[in-house]
Amino acid sequence: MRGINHDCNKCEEQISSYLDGAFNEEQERQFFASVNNCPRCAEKFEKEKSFKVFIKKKMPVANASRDLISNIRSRIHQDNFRNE
Amino acid sequence: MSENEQNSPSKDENARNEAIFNSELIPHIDALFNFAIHLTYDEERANDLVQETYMKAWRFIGSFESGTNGKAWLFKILKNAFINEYRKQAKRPTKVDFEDVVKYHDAEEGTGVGYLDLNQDIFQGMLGDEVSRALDSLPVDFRTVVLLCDIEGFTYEEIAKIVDIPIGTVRSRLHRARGMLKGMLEAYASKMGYKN
Repeated sequence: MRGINHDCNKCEEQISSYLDGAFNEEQERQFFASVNNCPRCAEKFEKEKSFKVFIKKKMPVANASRDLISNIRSRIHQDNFRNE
Repeated sequence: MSENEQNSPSKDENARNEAIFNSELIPHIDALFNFAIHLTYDEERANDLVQETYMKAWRFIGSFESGTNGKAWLFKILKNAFINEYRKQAKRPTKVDFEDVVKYHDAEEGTGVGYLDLNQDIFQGMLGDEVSRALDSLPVDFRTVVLLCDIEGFTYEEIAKIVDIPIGTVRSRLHRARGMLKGMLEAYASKMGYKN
């Protein structure tokens, strides 16, 4: 059941802020008090959380090649040598 | 002693700088390369961007305070190098900021004849997942904030500094970008067992 002062639009905006780690402890407490007070917002929160995890888990990550790392190190050594 | 010798770091300083470079900056190379490849869609250009980023970081390592946020510093350098690359590509001598690059890039995407398109198929072969394809179909400004927030875990404040936009714009771009991604990926996410 929604509380008297619950605002679904405001709560929806806060979901991303919470999931992105933008809240302090007090803001988190207020957020959960609000989201747990409304089944619609609670459901929205679970969906958003799940989608964020999905993106992070399913996104393939490209790694730098060993050649790139050794090229950088070699250029730095050349740079040091020139300065000595 | 010549002026050059006076300005050059001593052997001890070089050794200390190299230790900081190896322990605090090099560990972020995979994250930087991943960011670069999602910006450029091209392995060679991503390699060049990352190399340029580290060389610049090395030249300015004296101004880097050990123990501070080296990852955010490197991402900001790379973002600026990306802008400079566009400035060269576009042969525009005047000051260019990220917003200009975004507009330029989006215009290129819109025509379907931008040079990025030449490499897009190769790139998608490398990272040919549905999620990657959806992300890479977003305009570069939206793609950037999703990568920085959801993949790299930067805070809104850090993203605002890296991209040079207000925090409110970070929030609104993330909101719009996620909306676009959801539109493209909801069915796929559901198939993979995630709630929608």
